[in-house]
Amino acid sequence: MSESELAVIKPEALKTYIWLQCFDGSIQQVEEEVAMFCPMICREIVKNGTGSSKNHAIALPERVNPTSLSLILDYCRFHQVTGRSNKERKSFDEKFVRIETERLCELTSAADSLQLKPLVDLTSRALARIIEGKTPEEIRDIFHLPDDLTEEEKLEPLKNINDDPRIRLLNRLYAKKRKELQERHERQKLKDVQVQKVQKDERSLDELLCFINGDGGGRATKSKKKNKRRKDHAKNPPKADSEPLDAEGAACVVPCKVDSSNVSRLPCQNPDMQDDAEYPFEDADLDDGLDPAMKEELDREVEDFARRLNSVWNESHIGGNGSVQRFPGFNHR
Amino acid sequence: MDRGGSQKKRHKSVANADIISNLPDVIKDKILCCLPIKEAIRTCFLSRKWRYTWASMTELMFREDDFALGNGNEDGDSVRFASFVHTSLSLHNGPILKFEMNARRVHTFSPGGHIHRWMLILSRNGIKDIQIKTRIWRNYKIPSSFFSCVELEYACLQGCIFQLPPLFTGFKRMHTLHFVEFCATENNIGELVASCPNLEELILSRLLSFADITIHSTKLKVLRVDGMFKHLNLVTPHVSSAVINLQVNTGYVPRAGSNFNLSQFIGSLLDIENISLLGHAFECAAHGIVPGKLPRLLNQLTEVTLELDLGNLKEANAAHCLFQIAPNLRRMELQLMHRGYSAPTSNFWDSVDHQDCLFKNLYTVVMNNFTGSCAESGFLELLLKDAPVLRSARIEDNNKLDKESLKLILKMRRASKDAEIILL
Repeated sequence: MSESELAVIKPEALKTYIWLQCFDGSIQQVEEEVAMFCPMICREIVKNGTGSSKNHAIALPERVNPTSLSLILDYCRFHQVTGRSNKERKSFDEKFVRIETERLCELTSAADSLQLKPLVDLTSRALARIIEGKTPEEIRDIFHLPDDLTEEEKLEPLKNINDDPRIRLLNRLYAKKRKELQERHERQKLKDVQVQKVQKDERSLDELLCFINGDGGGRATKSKKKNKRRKDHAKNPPKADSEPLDAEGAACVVPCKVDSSNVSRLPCQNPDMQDDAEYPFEDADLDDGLDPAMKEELDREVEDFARRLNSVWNESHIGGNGSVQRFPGFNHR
Repeated sequence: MDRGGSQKKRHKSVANADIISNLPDVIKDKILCCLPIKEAIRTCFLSRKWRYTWASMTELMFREDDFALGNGNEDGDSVRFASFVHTSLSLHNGPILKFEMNARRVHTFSPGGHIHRWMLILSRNGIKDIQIKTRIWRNYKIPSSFFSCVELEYACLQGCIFQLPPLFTGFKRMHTLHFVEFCATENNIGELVASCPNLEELILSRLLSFADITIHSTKLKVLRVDGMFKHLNLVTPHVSSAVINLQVNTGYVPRAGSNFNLSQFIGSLLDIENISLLGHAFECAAHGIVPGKLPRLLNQLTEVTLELDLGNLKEANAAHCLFQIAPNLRRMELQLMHRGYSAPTSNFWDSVDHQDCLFKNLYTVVMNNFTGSCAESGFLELLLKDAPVLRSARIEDNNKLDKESLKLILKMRRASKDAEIILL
């Protein structure tokens, strides 16, 4: 027994070990050639002479936790051996990154702080593969990202790059909400006696005209139909889109048309882009291929959202010339 | 899902910490650069922290095929693609180190329009690597802002034409130039190369040139030229790897010394390690090689690939000269041609003095299109007798040889005991 122990001890005694200390205080020892594979550790050993004993363990950066460290050392142990074929290395790498996403993120961070570039590249590519092909909701779910973009920001037309039906749905939803907002905004202004009496008249005129044209109030179903029609107008569009500056002489149809085009396009777009009417920065796809159940849900959500937004609007500053076509809140670029 | 779930999500997300957004910017950039461009930009919807992360991506790669809707409306696709690229570039904020564009056609965009805007944006963002690939010749003219990209290190341009601006100060950092399907009517390539003092690699694929091209570069290490060109003048003394492939229209007989002054070229080489002369390059060049006139030995030359007609006296002579100045040649590959129109010589190789020991370091030989003609057999015999360390000789005859000839080949005397003749 003692002989075999001796036999085991002897070859190990010939190897030099390096001591590493994680931020949490735990100390680990590892074979020198494995540790030297990491540029940061290598530098510590060569320049500062640390790591040769337990008392002078190399202090690893904060982002390296013990789990990541052991994974990194496994990686180094495999790759520092020179005789391996490319195929072997590749297959090891593929298996290596098949770990929980959270571990993978920690590993990436740790590898970066140890400056182990090949491992950083490997893990980054693996994370990219995880993200690829997934919807934003799925990605948020995987990485625990907060859904914290304000509704305002989301109201900018999404870039429907992939023609994702969900995004189309969202765009429709937001367009409706915007319309809601606009209506409430107008009603709000009508009540506001002090401000711009002259324009108030115009507004009420326009509003009436629009109403006559079938521009309903908060009725979701009706407004959906209107939306559809209006969006049809919006499709023809770039010409109708020039800023509607004088509301007075405008024929009754025009304000509504322009109105709707503004609804479906954000002011932040410059005239340049409007040549490229349909793609990719607005959703011109109209077909309401929704079944009734979904429509109901949509309506409910629209109401819900409008209610929430209403409180926001009541607080925010309402200024400007108050013309129907302008949304002061949205005028930021 | 969206319906009412957003509120639930908000509560849930507070409980579990975000695991990815706190990674260093460099890593987030790496991750985004690994994604297709559409998905990378879509990350702006994920959360507050990711809203503008995409806008600092350092590598942008746009492929028109990814944007095709497949409904046959190609022009519509092009327009959408162009607008997408433009908007992405406009909203992008930060250095762009690599830009790659892969489009069917670039010229359909309004002249002075899209590509000029893109190039302007790139030139202001420290671009280092530009690759533009299209599928049509003479598709677009490189905008002048390209020449203001002072940090440029790598450029691969397909299907373009260009003109150097008058006060061009050069690309000091450029190390690789790659032109594909380039049509030259003047020596603008030569001028461009001359203004890139640190150029190491020059690749001209499918070149079509009506002008005399002069390439003069002292730091050039890798040179590849293929296509149809009128006259090529190379002054690149430190090239270590050169591949020249001269194509000609069928029926054209190259005149003496017209296309390529090989003896001058070879005479100027100091560090060449491997050289390939394909197509009609060797044939044209052979006109200029005079035995005994080549100035120095090419001691580093280890690999030679030639497309030649061993039966043609001029070419045989030139080949012989070449072998004489390449004592360290280890690998030789010959594509055997039969041009047929020049006076054949049957005894040239037999008359070569065997004491010369031409192939003392030759290790591998490959001969394609072997027909067993007098000249070829003579050459093979000489080679086998003269190559003391030969390990393998692969002879591909495309089944043209009959059994008798094959047997004769196998019976040839070999200087090297380990020599293995493989007949395919």
